[in-house]
Amino acid sequence: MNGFSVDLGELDAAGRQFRGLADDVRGHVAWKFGVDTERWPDDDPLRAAVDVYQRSLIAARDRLCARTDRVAALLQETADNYRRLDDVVAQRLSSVRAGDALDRGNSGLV
Amino acid sequence: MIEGTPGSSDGEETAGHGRPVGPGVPEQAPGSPSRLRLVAESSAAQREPLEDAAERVRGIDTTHWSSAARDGYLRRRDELAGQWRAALDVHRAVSERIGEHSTFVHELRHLWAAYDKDEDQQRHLQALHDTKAAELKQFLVEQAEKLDRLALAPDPVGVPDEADHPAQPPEAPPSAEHEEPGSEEQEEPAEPDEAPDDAAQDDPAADDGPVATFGQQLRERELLTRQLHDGNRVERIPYDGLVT
Repeated sequence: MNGFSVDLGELDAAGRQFRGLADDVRGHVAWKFGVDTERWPDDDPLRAAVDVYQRSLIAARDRLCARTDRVAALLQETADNYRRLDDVVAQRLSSVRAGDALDRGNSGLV
Repeated sequence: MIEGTPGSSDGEETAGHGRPVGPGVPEQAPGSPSRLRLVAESSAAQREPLEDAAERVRGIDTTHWSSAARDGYLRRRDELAGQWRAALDVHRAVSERIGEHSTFVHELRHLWAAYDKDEDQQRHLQALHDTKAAELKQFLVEQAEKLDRLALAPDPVGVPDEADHPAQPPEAPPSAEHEEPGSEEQEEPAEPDEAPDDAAQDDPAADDGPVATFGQQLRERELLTRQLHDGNRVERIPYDGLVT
């Protein structure tokens, strides 16, 4: 791919969407009370299986929320890196004279 | 049969099996409609945040971003959406199954009352309940294991994947595509079309280590063999003797 284009505000917004989504899932009222089997009789044939499943469900939810947070952080880092790169390029171009730029054109930007 | 028991699906505090009053025939219908209804309602409610996540993740797009890094982002997003979807599919199946069992146990109370004088029929209903409860128990454990395998692999950002990058990139210039983290996401095994049932397979396959490496090599070899066999791929072997 030759070159790239990016809307940094859009990247920031996408990151916020991921973060908000993870927060919404974790904070959903459906998890608030869960499935309480504490007062179920010990000989209930489904009690142990319900507990096992609920533990796995909550753990999977937490892993997926963590991954969603991670994507949000990556998008934020990406936007920051684009900004940083643009600053570096801008500083470079404004600090060298035209002749220097020609002489050192292959020396890299950073 | 105790008076009023058949209709009292709420508030009963019996265990899974009622107390036997005769030779193998419980006093009241097995199962607990009230407990199962609570589980069914809670499970149904838990579907909502999972559905919300699966739907919203796939819709988070960056239409003004065009670069190799964005391609990596899209793969990462689709993989994440697939994992949310896989969790939803597992839980949806569980929720429906619990709902069905709840309905069955509720109906059982009425059937039990209808066969109040028929111990053979009650024994049959008892056996039917026990079978269905055992099946549900097994199903719950199996689905829990599926969830346990979902999104287990460590976050692969920064971990090189030889399948995507067999050789070192030549003198990567300090461009945005190479410096920003989005490009690192390309190193993650991409499974954009991940089917829901792949939940049990997606992450273990991404594990590092010699076993995973060997598995990857094996899959590649099988793919190559298949392509060669089907004629989809032709190996060109240079032979200097033919070149004059």
